[in-house]
Amino acid sequence: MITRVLGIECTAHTFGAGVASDSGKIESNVNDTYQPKSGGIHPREAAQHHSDASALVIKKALQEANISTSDLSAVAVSIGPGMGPCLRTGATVARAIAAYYSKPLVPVNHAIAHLEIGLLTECLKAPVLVYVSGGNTQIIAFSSGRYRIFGETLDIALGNCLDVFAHEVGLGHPGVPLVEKLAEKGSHFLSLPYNVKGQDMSYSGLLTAALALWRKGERLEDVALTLREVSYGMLCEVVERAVAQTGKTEILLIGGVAKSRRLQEMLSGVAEQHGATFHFVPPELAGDNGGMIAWAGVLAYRSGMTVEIEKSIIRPRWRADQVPARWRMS
Amino acid sequence: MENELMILLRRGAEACLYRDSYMGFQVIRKQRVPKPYRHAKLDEAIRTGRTLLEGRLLSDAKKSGVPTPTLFQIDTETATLVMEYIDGPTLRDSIASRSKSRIAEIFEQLGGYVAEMHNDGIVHGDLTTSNVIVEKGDELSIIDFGLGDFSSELEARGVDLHLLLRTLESSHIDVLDESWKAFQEGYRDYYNGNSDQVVEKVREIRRRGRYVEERRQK
Repeated sequence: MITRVLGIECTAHTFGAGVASDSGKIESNVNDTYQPKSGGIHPREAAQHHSDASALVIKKALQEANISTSDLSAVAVSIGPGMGPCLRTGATVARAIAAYYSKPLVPVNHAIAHLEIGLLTECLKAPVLVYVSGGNTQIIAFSSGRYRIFGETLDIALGNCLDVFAHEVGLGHPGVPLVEKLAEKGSHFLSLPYNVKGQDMSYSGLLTAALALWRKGERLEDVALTLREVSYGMLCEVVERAVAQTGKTEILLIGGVAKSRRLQEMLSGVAEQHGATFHFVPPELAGDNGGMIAWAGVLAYRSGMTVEIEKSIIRPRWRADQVPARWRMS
Repeated sequence: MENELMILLRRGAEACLYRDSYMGFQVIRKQRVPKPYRHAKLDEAIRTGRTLLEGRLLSDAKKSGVPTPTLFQIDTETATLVMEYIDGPTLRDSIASRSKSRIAEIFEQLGGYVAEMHNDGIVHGDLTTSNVIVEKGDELSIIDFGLGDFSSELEARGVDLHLLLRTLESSHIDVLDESWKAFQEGYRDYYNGNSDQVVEKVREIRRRGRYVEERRQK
């Protein structure tokens, strides 16, 4: 029988549902993203959105995959890392479906799902993974049974840095594409703090300094240009160090910021310097989505990684390096 | 200036190391190569800034009494440092052929040097047994200040010691106890201040570590 898993994504701004089968086919991927009226994500409002959207999104995901609940082998849900209220909503929905239809429940780590969907679509085995989104910035490589975090942000995520900047200067949301677009019109490279500490990066001081430049009256286009170049440059340096130290020959960019053209361009430059190849996850699977949770769910389910409903607590700070990647151990 | 006989020793993530001669001396050329993928202005600022910083750290450490390669030239145009070539195996490769008492002496001496460096506001940033050269007569030299900085913070000093301890644990486990004990003794003898605070910092940093079970279970 074919293994088919319904995946539910619910860690931050997106409620998503998807169906994946063990052949590696994403049979459906339906997502509904909460749009804050102003500012960033309000966790409780986002959770309310997810609660309202859940029934329709899941129904659509099953319809598009052309299956009914009886065809499902298991229900997978991202139980972390993420925002508590959002995670609780997603977990509640998943528990209800699993209990009502008597399906096993599979807890999925959100970061692992981003990694695995990228490996699936790009047909890679052992790349240096560059995971960049609004909430996460990590450089990861697989080693002895686990995904190991080679370097990461010490404070805020790269995506968050650009998002908050865009919001503060009145560009709107989402920030990354807006800052990038504005940066195209920049001509002067200004001075901003470049903060790489060993294998880790720090973005909060950069954000503060960029906003200070803008308030001082520097052209917004120039600030955007400098901010883009410095923030991506820091990331690229750590990626380059990871490639040089691990000797890996592939770089894979994943997460919401994987859509960034400039970051793709810079990382392919890093790859070139070390004779490595560069890949990025396709845009429709780059941001948070249900399809990737379904696929990670298939992998975990096949390795017997299910959880009893009574024990299916959410883990807002669950790191990718805490997950034994049993499906990769054979 | 470019010498045809220059030999590429190592291509790292940041710089290329060449063996060369300079006014009759055996030297190492460390060149921070341009990274075409990043903005030219940013690239220049990083390469120039770090080359200058590393040069200052090398020569200031020497003035503090720490044996480091003699600096011959800083070329900001090409982001290159020219420094004395130190002949000898690394401490990492020397340990196997030494007696335990000899190893203890070496680490006690190293501890003193690191303390002197810290006293004068310099942190190394990459203090591993690969960055210490053992010359003839077991004279030590500390190399590669590429990740170093001017800092008098307890945190930065703790990071130096912590990295050395981690290197001992991962690469020199059979001499871990005596080498770490001897290092601390040497460090305590020369450190201007209470070296227990630095050692306590090492413990604190360790608790923050990524793969430490005790932290995870909190």
